[in-house]
Amino acid sequence: MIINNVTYLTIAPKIGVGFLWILAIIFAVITALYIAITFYTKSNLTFKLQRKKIKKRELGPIVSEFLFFDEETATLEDKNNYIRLKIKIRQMLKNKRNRKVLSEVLVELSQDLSGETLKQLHSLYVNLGLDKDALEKLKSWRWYTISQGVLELTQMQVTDSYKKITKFVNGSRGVLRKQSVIAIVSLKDEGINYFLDTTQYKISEWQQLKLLEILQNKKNYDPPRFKNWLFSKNTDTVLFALRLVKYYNQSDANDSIIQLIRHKNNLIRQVAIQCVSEFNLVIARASLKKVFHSSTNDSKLLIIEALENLGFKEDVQFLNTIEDRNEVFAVKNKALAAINSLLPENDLELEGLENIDTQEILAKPTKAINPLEVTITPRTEVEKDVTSAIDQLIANTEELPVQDDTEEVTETIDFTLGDTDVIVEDVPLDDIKHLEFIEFLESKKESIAIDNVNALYSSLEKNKTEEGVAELKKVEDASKTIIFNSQSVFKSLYDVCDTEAKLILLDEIAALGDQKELQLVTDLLEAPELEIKKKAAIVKEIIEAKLQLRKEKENAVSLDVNTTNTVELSDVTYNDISGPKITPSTIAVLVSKTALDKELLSLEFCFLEEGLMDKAEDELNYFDINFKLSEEFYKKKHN
Amino acid sequence: MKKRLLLAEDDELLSSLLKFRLEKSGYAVDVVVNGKDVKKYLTTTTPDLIVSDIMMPYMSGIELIDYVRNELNSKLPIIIISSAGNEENVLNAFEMGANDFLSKPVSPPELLIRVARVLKSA
Repeated sequence: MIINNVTYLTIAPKIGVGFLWILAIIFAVITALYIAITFYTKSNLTFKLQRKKIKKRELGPIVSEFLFFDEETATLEDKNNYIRLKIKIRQMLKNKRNRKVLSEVLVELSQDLSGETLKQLHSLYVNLGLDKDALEKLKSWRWYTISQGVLELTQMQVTDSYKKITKFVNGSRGVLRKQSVIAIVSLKDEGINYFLDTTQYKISEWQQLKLLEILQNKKNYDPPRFKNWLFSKNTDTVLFALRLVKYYNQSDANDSIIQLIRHKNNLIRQVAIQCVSEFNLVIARASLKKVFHSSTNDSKLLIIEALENLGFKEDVQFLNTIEDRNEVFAVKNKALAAINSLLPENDLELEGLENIDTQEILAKPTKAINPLEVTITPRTEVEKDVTSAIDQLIANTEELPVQDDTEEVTETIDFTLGDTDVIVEDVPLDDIKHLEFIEFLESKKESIAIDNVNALYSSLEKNKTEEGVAELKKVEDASKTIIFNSQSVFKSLYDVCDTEAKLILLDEIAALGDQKELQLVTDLLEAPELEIKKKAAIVKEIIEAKLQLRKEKENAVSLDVNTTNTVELSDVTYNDISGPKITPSTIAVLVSKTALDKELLSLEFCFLEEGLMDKAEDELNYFDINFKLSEEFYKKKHN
Repeated sequence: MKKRLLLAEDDELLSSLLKFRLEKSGYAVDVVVNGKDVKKYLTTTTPDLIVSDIMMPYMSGIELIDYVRNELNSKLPIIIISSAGNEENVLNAFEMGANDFLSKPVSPPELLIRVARVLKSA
């Protein structure tokens, strides 16, 4: 529907220009009034503050005169001045505003003064009758006025107001209630008793701290027996009372504390457990154990701590059950710590430790005959312990007659050179070169190293005995059973993916892939999906470029090494009963696997290597060891 | 001759009360309410002792000690008034060269004793 101008004018309400003027004037007046009122209020406030400030300056010296007037030492002039001021202040106090200012002055000063002067200030406040004004405020219907009155009476220590303030302790207004509690506890020693007896509301943590602070600051304070409130119907009262029992070391509440270990409220239970620990309540041990399983983890930790502090070895059995149960790690760990504390370094079965049979190690002349320098790098605390144990054993073996059969081993092991050129450099005893040497060896034939080294080690260990040969074959067979998966690890995943996921997977292959992935992406060039084909072509290029780069890097490394001797490892044979001919240092080089080398290995090889290393650790306990080439070895090579 | 004290305190009521008490004990007391005024005062007058609040506008008590000791190169005795629980500031004040300190809330008789002791040892 189209509304033309004429129609619009006919349906629009008619507002006269005069009416609009009236509205404008009304709004202008309201605005002016608003500005005027704001200005007046602000000015009035400033004026009042200024007047108050002047009045305070005027009253300050008078208050000082009253406070420090000493009738005994005062001269006649001082006494006259004092009387004159007294009259003046009486006159001033007839004015309500002056009374208010004077109250403020005294309250402010009470915060900055201490000692005898503060006491005189308090009595001056009462003598001038200013407390009556504060008491009058308590009758107000405004809660904040009452609160101001309570605060003033508390600060000026008007103990007579105690009774009047108590009626606000269970008031409906939270602020007033808290203010009143602080007041009654401050004003009289029995205030805390009244509060704990009557309070029906929750006592906040802040309130508890504040009340404790007030009690702490009380001079010559004799605290009541807080055990009387340990069975209050208000759980907050129980908790606060329990904390006070703990703070004031009231050991007469032992029975109640033991009962409170079973309290449903978790906080109360925890404080009770802490009390047990602090008061050394040995008889509570049984209760602690009973409630353990129904407690929260925090409470469990406290229970274990309490049992640890109580220090009974009989509790170890209970702590052991905790360790065996399906508890959270922190609880189990705490239990272990407690056991260790109760039975220090005794009867502890640590997981992850290798079983070191001292006799076995002593029987094997491995360490004694090995001329290689051995560096063990501990990775964990447990391993450190093992390391120190091995060190100890080595020290012991050193004292035994050492059988140096290195020469024999070197001569008898027949080490056949094969296709792989392993360049053994006549390097000085320098760590950096040594590492380069290892890196070079690894880059040459990383895939054969582990199998051969295991076998060679076994040979070295058994040293051409029949037993050794049998063992050697066993290891060899084991090595053969490990099948390299020539397929890419991405293949199985690729087969179950949809096209979109396959594209994402190809991105990952581009980032991580190597030779095996190259085969996979080559196959994918024949894939039915066009997108996959295109992507595979790109990924193939990326992988090829990466492999080329790696090859160049390897070549660069090999050029750096000065080749003097060549050992072929791939065809190491074990046919001869005497075993392969190999020097211990060569073995050491093969065994050493640095993190840098590991990065270059394919994923499958990493898993294989890890498996073999674990196996080797179990059998020989050698493969966690970094060997250094001994000086002796280089000398021999040189000659 | 009366010993002249400089009382640097921004709380007018407290400074008025302490001034009254110190004057009553026979000292001549000048009161300043902020750090700027302290500097201005020290350019014209050298008091026998400075009693200063640690928290003041424009210049803290610590800065005042630094100014007196390092810029004026004066060994003028200084007593610092600090809030309770402000031990770190007190230690700093002593390190900078304060002679004594008094914690708030102040006890006027204690202040008198400390002033007398510092003046005696100065």
